[in-house]
Amino acid sequence: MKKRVLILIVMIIMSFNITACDPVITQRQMNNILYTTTTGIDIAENIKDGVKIIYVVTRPDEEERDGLRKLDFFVGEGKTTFNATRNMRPIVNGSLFGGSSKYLIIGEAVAKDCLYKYVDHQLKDHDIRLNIQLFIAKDTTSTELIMFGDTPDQTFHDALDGLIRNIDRKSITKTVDIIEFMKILVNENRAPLIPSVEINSIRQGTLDLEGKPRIKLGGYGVIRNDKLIGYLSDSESRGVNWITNNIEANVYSVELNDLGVIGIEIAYSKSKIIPSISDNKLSVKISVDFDFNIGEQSKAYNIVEDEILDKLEYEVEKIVKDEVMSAIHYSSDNNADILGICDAFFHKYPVEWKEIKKDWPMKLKQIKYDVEVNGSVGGSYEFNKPVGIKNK
Amino acid sequence: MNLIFAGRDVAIYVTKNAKQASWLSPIFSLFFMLILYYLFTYMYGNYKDENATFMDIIYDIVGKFIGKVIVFGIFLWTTILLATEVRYFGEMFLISIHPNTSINVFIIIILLVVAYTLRSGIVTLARMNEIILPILAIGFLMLIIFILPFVKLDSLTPISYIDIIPLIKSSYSTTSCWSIATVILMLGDLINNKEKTWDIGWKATLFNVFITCAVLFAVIGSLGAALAKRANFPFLLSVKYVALFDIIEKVESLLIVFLIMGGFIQISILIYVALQMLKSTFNLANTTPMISIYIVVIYYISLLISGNLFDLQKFTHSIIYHGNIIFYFFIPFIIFYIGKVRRKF
Repeated sequence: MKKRVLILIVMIIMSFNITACDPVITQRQMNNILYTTTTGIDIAENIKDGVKIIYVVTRPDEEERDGLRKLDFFVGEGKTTFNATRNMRPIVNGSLFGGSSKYLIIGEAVAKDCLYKYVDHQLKDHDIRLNIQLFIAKDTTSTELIMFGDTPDQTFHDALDGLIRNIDRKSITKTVDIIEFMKILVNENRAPLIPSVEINSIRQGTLDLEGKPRIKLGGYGVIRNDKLIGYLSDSESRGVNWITNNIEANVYSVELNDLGVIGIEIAYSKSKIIPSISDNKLSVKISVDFDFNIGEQSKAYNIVEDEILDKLEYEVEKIVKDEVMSAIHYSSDNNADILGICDAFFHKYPVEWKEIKKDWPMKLKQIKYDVEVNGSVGGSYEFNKPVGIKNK
Repeated sequence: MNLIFAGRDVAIYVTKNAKQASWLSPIFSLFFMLILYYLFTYMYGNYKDENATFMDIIYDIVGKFIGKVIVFGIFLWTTILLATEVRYFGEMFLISIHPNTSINVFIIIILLVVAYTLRSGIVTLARMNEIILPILAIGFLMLIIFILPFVKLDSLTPISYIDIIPLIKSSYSTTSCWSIATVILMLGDLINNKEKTWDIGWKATLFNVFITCAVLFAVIGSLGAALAKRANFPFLLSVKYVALFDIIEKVESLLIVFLIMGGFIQISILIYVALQMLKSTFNLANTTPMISIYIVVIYYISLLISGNLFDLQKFTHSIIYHGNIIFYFFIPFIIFYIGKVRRKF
């Protein structure tokens, strides 16, 4: 019995001391840990072909003390991303935990160079969370974007959080995490999309910047062969979202000549990509079904009449079809499968796919598209008739 | 033991062949495993009165000398397998939570704990397993449920007739992992109610099929086959991807706890059976004095077996998988065949 107790004591002592953690007495306090909220990647300024990493960090204890987050920015440069994160350590005054970043901002120059080599470390490092969301700093570096977006009233991280909360109202873009991105990146036939964030130039000089975000979300950045080849416009981005079932809502203003302007909001949408092969020629039918509600009308008349509603549906379908077509044209013109057409063929024709995938970019260009858009009015919220119609 | 393989590296090997369809590969292994269980049930049924172990059956069928050579061969192979598993146990910590620590720390600690427990005998181990197995099974299912919201059906399809050959090929690795069941089945003298071996065997195999399919479904559905085959520890990566309601993260620490418990049982059982084989080969009276020596041997082999994780994975894929099939699948089959030819049963 004594022997067993002795062994047990030895094991308990060993379990505390023979581990990779610091000994118990000098344990790491929570208030010494610097938690990263955002990570930025740029091309190094002082090292040829090197990488610059910027960490935005916060300390939990200071947040509790005065209600405001105290932020620090740490910058490191190195030959590789991994190297850069370690090279910043001599200037870090705490225990830096790089794995807690929610956002990874990729500078435009990095995205244009070769995206893969800069984000590989993010996937390999055991500390980094795999749901970290990727953004491209449009027309700028990640450092500049982060610094500009950070104000005394709102941190860059909180500003981006707020913008993302509103992402579904316009459906221009959607968030993409690193796993989702990598899944498409490893597919040689697909062109991954990354949402962009840009400096909100409209606000500069025209509106009071106090308390308002100085950054805004833009359309998708298109990656082909590991490089950024360009950005989709707002309508092209929404076109992609229509096709890929990522439309949550959007408001359109529809002009009906003498009936004035009608404001409608998309309430529901569902799309299908239906590939087909006939006579060795590839074609794709894209079918989009959606419901919308009438939110306002500029002229006072009873809109609930079949003829007017049919006309309205026709006009809305035309707008949606234009957006869908703009995304298709971008894909064909740039040989970039941003819509996942290759996956649609692979899923429907797994046997034939081995042949189809040969020279896919060329085939993508030759695909014939048939777009079918069906919209229908759902309702008009609280009132059917506008208050502008006077009682007689 | 099969939970450990399912949670660790089966996904890497099955996705190499069957890609998006590989989550169905365990179903093909079911057939081979049922054959294995049937052979053991049949043999033990015929040696019921002697209360024989598989070693005794081998001696009876092929003769004492050749039998001892075969059993010693299985013992040597089990030692290599054991060293690989011990090494994987250490590597699991280096990949996941302690990358800058010496692997010796983890290997020494687990071997010390195993050595201490083994002195209490197989009954203690079996009782511990009765507690640990439900925890592991429920834990794995819980983690799979957490991953489900991240599973995309597009990553698991299409499945067509052209996937049948790759699926059969990929089921080789699953069958190889599951064939380690032979190690436990060798101790026929400890199995009560031998007539129930078949009944329990097919249920255990169905459970293996279900849990392995579920793990592969979660891994391939969340990461995709292309990422899963590139990962060192795909299930850990899938679990790491889980963020429940944007609040609960780092759930992978739970998986590590489950794998530590499972690893402990796996290593303990393998060492126990290996020592029983040694006892049988050299007619030893007691294996307890051998535990410490054998564990030191395992420690050194586990360090010598490969220089790094890459070599270990290469070694597993090119040698261990084939060795398991030869020693744990073909040898029982050959023994059964010779027994039949010699009209032993």
